[in-house]
Amino acid sequence: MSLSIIIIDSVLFSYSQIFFSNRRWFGLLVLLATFISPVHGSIILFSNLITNIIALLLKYEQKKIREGFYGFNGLLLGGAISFFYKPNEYFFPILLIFLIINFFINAAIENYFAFAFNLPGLSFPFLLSFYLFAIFNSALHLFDFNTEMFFQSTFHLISVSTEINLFLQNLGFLVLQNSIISGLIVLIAILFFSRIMFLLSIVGYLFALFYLHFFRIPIDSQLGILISLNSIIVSIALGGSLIIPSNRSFVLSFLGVSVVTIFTIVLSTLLQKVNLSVFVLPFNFTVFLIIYALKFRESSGEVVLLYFKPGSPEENYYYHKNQKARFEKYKFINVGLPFNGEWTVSQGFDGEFTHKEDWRYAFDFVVTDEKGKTYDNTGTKLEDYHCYGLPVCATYKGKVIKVIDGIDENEVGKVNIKQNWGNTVIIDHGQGLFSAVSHLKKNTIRVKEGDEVEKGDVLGNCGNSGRSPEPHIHFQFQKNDKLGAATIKFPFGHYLVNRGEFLELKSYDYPLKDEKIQKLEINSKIKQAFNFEYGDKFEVQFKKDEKVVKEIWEVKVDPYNIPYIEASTGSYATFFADEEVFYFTSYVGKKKDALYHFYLAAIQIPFTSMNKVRWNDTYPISIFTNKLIMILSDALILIYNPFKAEGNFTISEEENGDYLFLNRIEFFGNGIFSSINWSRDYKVIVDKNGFLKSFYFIDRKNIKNEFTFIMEEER
Amino acid sequence: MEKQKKVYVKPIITKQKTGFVGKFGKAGLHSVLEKIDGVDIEELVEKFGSPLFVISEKTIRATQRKALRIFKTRYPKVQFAWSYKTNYLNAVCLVFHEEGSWAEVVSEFEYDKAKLLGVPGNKIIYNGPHKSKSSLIKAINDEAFIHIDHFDELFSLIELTEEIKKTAKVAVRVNMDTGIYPKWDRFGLNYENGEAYEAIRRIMLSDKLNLVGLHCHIGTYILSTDAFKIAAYKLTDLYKRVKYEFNHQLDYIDIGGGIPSKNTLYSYYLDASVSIPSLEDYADAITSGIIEHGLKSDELPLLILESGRALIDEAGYLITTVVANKRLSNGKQAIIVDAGVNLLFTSFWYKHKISTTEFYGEVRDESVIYGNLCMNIDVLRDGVFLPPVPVGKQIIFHNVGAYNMTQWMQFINLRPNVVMIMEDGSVEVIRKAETLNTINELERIPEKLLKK
Repeated sequence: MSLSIIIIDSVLFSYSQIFFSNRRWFGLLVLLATFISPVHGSIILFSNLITNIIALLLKYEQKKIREGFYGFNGLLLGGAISFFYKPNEYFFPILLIFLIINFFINAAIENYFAFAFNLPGLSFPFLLSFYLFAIFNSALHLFDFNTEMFFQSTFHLISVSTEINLFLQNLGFLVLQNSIISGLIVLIAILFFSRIMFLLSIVGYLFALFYLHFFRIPIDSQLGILISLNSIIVSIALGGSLIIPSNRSFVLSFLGVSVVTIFTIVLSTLLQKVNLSVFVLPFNFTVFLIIYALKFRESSGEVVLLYFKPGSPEENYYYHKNQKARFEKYKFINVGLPFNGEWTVSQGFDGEFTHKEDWRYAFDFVVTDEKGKTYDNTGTKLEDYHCYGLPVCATYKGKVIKVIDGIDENEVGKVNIKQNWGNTVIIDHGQGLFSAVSHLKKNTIRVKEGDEVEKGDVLGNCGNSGRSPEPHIHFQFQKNDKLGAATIKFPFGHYLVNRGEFLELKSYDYPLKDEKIQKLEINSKIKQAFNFEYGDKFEVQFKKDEKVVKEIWEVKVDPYNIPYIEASTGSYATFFADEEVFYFTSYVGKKKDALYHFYLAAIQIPFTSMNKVRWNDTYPISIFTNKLIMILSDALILIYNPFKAEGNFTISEEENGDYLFLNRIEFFGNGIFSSINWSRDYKVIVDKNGFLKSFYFIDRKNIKNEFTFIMEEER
Repeated sequence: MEKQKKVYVKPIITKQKTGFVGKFGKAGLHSVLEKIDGVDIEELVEKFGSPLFVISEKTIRATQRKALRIFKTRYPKVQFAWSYKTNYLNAVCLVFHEEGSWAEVVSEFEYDKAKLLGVPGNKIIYNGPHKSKSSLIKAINDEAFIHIDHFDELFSLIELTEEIKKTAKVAVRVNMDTGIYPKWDRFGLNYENGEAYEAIRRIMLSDKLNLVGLHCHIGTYILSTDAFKIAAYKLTDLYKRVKYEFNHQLDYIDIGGGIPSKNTLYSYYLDASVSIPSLEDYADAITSGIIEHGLKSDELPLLILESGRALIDEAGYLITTVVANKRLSNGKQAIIVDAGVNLLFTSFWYKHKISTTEFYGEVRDESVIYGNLCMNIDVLRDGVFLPPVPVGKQIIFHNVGAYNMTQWMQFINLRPNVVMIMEDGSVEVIRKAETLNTINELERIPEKLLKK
């Protein structure tokens, strides 16, 4: 990437960062808003530019520089100094020195906050630098106070109410302009960027007005203005930008405004004594306090802190909803079922017999036949039972920590309550996860204490020892290595549920009672086709407006170790895969690219060719193009989720041995929008030798849009 | 109400026996069978004639599913391949393919049949001692699995692949000592004397042959599960050697067939239901033979099974009609039915289970069932205790699904209809009865013999 692009981006994104935005045009509008007074705007631009150049010269990470991570504190400092003080001949040299100081404070604080608290450093660095400047100036009196520019209302728009004037002026103050026009530009930028943010800014202001009225503070007094401008930005931050928007957003906004009002009163009383302005300090304290405190909850419920790279509140919402729908129960440990073939859950969580209290998260498994019976003949002999003597395997790699063997098998119908668990193997999987499998057949255990086992290794055979009236296995994840320890609710990675006509793929889920479940059989060819390794390159060819277009994809890994495919058009799609399933996790870029269609077509691909398997996945609806639907959806998401997009997959094998994944994407509205729905069929073809061959979809005009992978030797 | 006329039964003297199982096993008793899968047998005969082969779709599916369950609960990767020679009626093959089985063929004819039924090449296993050149070319092009039987085949494959510039997917058929008699060493290459390993070495040297698996088929109607365990163990051993010595990962080991059905051999005293190990026992033996090697779960080969008779025998019935009853000079009762050994080939090997459609009284006499061929060898069942079965009534032979409908021959009489009772109870003819024309059509009369 060229230096000029980095510099331009860093400048624009620094502006947009003030409102947690990640749009260049937003930055441009803020820049415009600061140029209402050109001198002032130039100083801000200069500060922004200088800060970013310092960061570049000192070789800080380019990605962060580009995203405005360093620049925005710089521009705030430049803006604040020129806002509060009258420039003279000393101005630029002194400003430069303070920009350098600010840069170091920023680099230290922002990075420390990110590392220590996993929180943004907000504008603390700027405030600290600004106070340093103010104290420095109070000693030397180099610059005069700019009394005109002080936080005061100057009524420019006569025709509207005081409150509206003040609202716009507050927005102007946030970009260090005492101008209603600036405020108006900012407001328009916010409206286009995010309707939620727009709403939150108004709501935050209204809550502030409520407190001002309540405490009898004049709204156009200095304190009144400080309270309202801090409230607006707190409402934006807590309601949608740093916490994922939900129907709790207004509650959070109210809570934030309440806290920030008190903080503003307290801090301005304190700082007045040393002649410093609180400016946005209350906002910083409030947001930091609330977000940091919320991190220590046991579970997040509806109020979820932003855990990914922020976008607009709407984008955050869609991304989060999608992640939640897709990966809510996802674990980094992908455990398999403890057996081969199809077994039936005869007792699940909170079972009616023994799975209660500490042992509620346990499973009993048996084998049922085509007639639904667990035995042949009369069922009076152990050998009559289908599961009796079947191999039982390790669910995940680990160390065998306890083996109990030598307990006799019970006759059918009898139980041994003295040695409740029967012959048992307990495995330590690390990270506090243990698994235990019980009621094994006497003298069939093949492992000994201390053995390292791999996922799928045979441990022993199913039997009827312990508290077991008929052959079955009892399986549980538990908290420690003790026999009969308390159970842990931990999901199985991937398994298939027999639904009669088809097998439903479940991922990171808990089998239910009476479900017939089995492992996913892995097809190494399909696994190979979806094995995207760092540096792999693909060439995709397709027709666009009657012309053949080529797109080159390259597999890369970002600094957070997240792999992604980057197209030559600049679009990219992040993905991850475990041993059994490939997932696309996000797509950023144009909706005409081949990569976009591949993301849609292959959002989730299990490495199997079992022809009765079906699965589905959900898309963030923001990935689809229809603007009207997005506006409707944006307007309603704080109340309910009006639209849903789902991919429904099946797999078949072609006559020539190729594998075909069919994905019917269905987009549909809920409630009043139920008449809005469409579907589109995507197909992905994997060559029988384990290479991606092509993918295509049929569009509304019934035209086949095909994308072909060009093999290396053909290139 | 009209009084029903009692059937006259000639008085006979029988030696008193206590209990069912004596020194000579369960007495050859018959049972009454009025319906097959709910379809009345007499109605079947009325509609489709006698003799009549009947195949139950329900039984095929149930047997295949049960077998799949038994193997899959013991081993993670299992594939069945339907042994065409056991019964290659299209409808039968298609039911097996619908249940997920591949095709195992042993001739060009069978290969073409499988292809015609829509089985893709990569789901066909091509076995057998004689594979024509043209069929090998087809198999190479279709990417079928070619199981090499002898060195000459290996050499011709090397030549062929060079000639047509294509890679062939091959496996080596291995024969070995599994401690049973007879030792099948006429098929494949020997394990103990290193022949099989030598063949593997030759294949690894050829860049046009891709070794994907190992195959063995230790015999037929094997009653020792240990033999299967030894076979699986030795084959997996070879699989490991290929992996470690050639750094080459094979896809599968194919343990072949040879698992018995529920038929009792003539040489056995005890009934098959008590003398033959269960399918579970065979599965335990085969899978433990592989698992004992301690391979990691992702290193385990796919296990292919080519079971034939164990999967189809039970689904087949032969309905015959009594033509005559007579008494032999030694006092034995003889029953003559309308089907001969040309249709029921397996009657040479098995004491087939017999049923009648009605209960003809308690008095049973040692009987022999003769076929309708004018040949002395035409004995369908000897040593069965039957009451006299009236002329025109049916005698049903059980467990005839395997081999009869492939090894049968047109001899003296024409071959009859074969029907399949579908899962929904409907009956479909799956092979029409032959007519004189069927036979004559193939014949050509030299001109000079034609009447002017």
